[in-house]
Formats: sequence, C-alpha cells, structure tokens
Amino acid sequence: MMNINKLIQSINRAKKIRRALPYHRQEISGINVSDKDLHQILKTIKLLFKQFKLNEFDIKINHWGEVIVIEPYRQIKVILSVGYFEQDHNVYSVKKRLKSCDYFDVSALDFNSRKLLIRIRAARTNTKWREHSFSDVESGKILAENFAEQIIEITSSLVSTTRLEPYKNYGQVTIEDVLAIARYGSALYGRETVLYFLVRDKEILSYPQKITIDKSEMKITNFNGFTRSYLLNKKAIKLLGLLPINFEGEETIIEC
Amino acid sequence: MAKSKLYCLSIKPIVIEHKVVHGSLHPMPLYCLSDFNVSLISCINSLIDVLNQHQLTEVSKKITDITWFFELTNRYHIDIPTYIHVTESTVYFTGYLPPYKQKYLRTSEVPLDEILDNGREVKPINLANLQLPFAKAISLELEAQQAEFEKVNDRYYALDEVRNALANLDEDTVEQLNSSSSTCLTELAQEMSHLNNQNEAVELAMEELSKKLLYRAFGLTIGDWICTDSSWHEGRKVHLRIERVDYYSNEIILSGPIITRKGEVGKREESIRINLCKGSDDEYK
Repeated sequence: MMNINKLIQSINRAKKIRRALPYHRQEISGINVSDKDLHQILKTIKLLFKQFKLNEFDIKINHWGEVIVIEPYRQIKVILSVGYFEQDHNVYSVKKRLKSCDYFDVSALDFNSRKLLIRIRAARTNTKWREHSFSDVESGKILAENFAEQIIEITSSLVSTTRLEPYKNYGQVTIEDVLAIARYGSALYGRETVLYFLVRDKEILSYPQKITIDKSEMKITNFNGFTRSYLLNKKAIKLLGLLPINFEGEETIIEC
Repeated sequence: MAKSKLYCLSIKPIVIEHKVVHGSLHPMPLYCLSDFNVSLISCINSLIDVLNQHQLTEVSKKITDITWFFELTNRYHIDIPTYIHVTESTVYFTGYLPPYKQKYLRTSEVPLDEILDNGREVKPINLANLQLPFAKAISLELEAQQAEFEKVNDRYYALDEVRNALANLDEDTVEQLNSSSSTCLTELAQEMSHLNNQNEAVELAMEELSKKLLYRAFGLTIGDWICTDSSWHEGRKVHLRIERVDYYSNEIILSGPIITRKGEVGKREESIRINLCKGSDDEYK
C-alpha cells in the first residue's frame, strides 16, 4: 500500500532538479510553483492524494517529480500538473501572429498568465488538458472527489492498450535527462566544469546512443560508434547525482 | 477602474553563442506578456523623467509582473528576472533564465506613444518661456558651442587645403617627398582627425543642450507630436512627430515624419524652426 507522506516527500525532493527542466527537450509535467508557495500547495495535493487512495488509484512520482495517477480498472495513466498554464489554442494563435508582427495588443483575449492552475490529462496522444483554478481545489474535499470522478470520466472512452505505450520506461534515467542536467550545469558553473565543453560538442551530441558513467568518468557514444570520455569534477558529480545514478560502485549504462 | 493594456511581445536573443547549440543551451521563451497597468505606466513615466532630466539615451530598472511563456515547458515562468528599458521613444524588456547571470533575451520594442495615453496629444506650449533666465542661459551656451564648432570647422577646412596641396605634390610628381614634407603630411592628417573628433563631441553637446532646452522650456521630448498654427511657418500648418533636434545659427530645428490627416505617422519628413532670439511672436501649440 502506498504511503502518501513518502509521495509528498519525493515531490519535495525533486524541487532542486526541477530547476533544470527548461533545459530538457521534453515537456515534463509536475508541480511548478515557487519554493515559498510549495508548502501550501502540497497540503492541497495531499488532500487530493488521499482521495485518490480512497478510490484505489495508484500514484507514481519519478526523479523529476512528475506525477502519474493510474486508475485501477484498466491501468490507464493520467498526468497531473500544477503551474501557470495557457490554453493551447491561445498559444497557437499567438505563435501564428508573432510571425507577422513583433508585438500586439491582446487585451481583448483571455490570457491566464497569473492564475495558478491544476490540470489533468490522460497520457495518450491528442488528449486535452482539463484545467481547474487552484483556489477551487483548496475550497474543499468536494473537488477532490470530483477529481477522482473526472479521471474515471476522461479515461472511460480510451482503449485499454495502445501500440505505443507512453511512459513505459517511467522512472528510468534517459540520455536526454543526463544532457539536460549537463546543460543546466553549464549555465550554472560555466567553464568550471567539463559539462560546459560536453554540451558544446556537436560531434558527440549528434544522436547520442549510449552514456556510460563509471565513478568520475563519463563516456558518450554517438550513432557512429564514436566515443569520447569526460572526467567529471566534484561539482559535476554533485549535479548529476540529482538523477538516480550510482557514482560509487558499478558503472551505470544509459541507452536510448 | 482604469483600462489596462495587455501586450504580447516577441522575443529575440541578445547574443548568439553558436547557432546549432544556442537553442538548447539558452532556452528562449515563445512570447512575453506585459500588462501596461497603472503601476507600470507610472514606473515608465518616472524613468522617462530621469531620461529627460539628464539627457540619457536609455534607462533600465528591475521589475516584476512580467510573464514569459516557454514553449518547451509549456507554461509561464514567473521567476525570470526582468528589466524594463525605456529609451526616448520606445520601451522593451530584457531578462535571463537562472542559473545564468547575464541577460541573454530581450523583447521587441513597443513605441511609447502607443502605451502612454497622452503620447498622441498635441501639447500647448508657451514660446515666451524662451525668455526665462534658464532658457537664456542655455541658448547662450548653445551659441558659444556653435562658435566653437565654427572655429574648429574653419581650421579643419584650412588644413584640408594644405593637406590636399601636399598630397597632390606627392601624386603628381615623380620624385619622392622629402622626409620633412612626408612627416608634415602625417601630422596634418593626425590633426585633422583630432579636429574631427572634437567637432563630433561639440555636435553631441549641442544636441544635448537643445534637447535640454526643449524639455525644460516646453516639456517637449523626442517622440512628442507637435503642430504649428496656420498663421506661422509660411501660412502652412505643419503637424509632425519630433524625431531629431538640431541647432543652427540661433534656431532650433525640430524635424521628423509628418502626421497624416488620419492621425497616423506618415513617411514624408518636415521640420519646424524656432528662433531663439525673437521666439515670442510665433504662436503654435
């Protein structure tokens, strides 16, 4: 049986690594609020989790703090995200208009840049986000119940198995994860770490296939089989240690 | 409640380190949302005041309340350190994503007269202000600078003739120049370039002084809309947006694109001359 306090703790622990998210090429959901708001929001999240537990949902949280809720009947995964979001059609129209002009007045449109939202989406392609303002959620348990119902609702029309299972390797470290941390490290420390040179190595970063980490040595192999190794210093190891990688014992191999 | 203006601005990088890796190393937002509400407008106004009082070209200040949308993470980042930059006629924002410590992204510029409500009003001004002591002082200073400018200019052209003569001597004859004349030639060139620099400095000082005069006497700045009375300026009505201020022999020349009948900024350029000595008998608003 899952322990809700442990889940909350792992969200808290992911706080540090989430700062590297803008350097990751994939969109990773989860809880995106400032550190000072986090405490308050976790209280509400806890309430939600309790309700999910009552409904026998499973909840998983990976090293990036990405929250996945699994409904009990057909094991369909649902992504949960908290942050300041924009509706997809707004983003689309802005993108289109910015091609022809540098700035424009959007007073007439409804933008929610300052509203903290909580939203859910089934982890399938072409599913839509369902958004709720956070203040509604805080107002009581009723909404928490409502959330569980909604998850059932949005998954009910989906088939139980798909050819491509998203989040199959959920919780595993990918090459992109390592590279994202490397980019973050390069921005943070500049030339002080070897990560600065690693992320600017065009040859090795063309379709990297394999990363091997053995103590303080990191080897990257690209699709040609060309390998280059980098010696990591303490700062780099500390940063990469945010990912579940073992720097002490046996070597870690990450493949795509 | 006062009407606020929500603007969406495009983003440009300030520096591009390397085209291929730039995108992933320096995450760029897709757009920036800026709400020009009362508090932001008052901030802009105070910055404009500073700008005009000291004749600066750009002032910047750290602000909050601006949101940046990142396509990569598909959300707004509210913790981006943002700076507002106000120039004589535009406003834009810069920022960076932590852990970087230097600004690497900026928005496109928005013209000030679009944001400020009074930007497009035609302001009434009083030419009699030119007779006030401080205005007199500035115009005297301008005159002195002008005299200095002419002095330097005269010397420059006199030297230019000598240099041309020497250069012709070198080019037209077969014999090499003797050492003393060739040193003379280089020295002349040096002095001329020095004079040129001096002239540029004087010109800049004059421009600043005329802007100062314009601001302190009439409260006019670059980007303001002005129009003359029909009784003045050869009986024509001139309606323009100030883009440049020049000073020439006791006259301040305001020039810029005309304003069309529709009330938009046109393409053709016009200028208005204000005589600093008489001034008072010309009426315009």
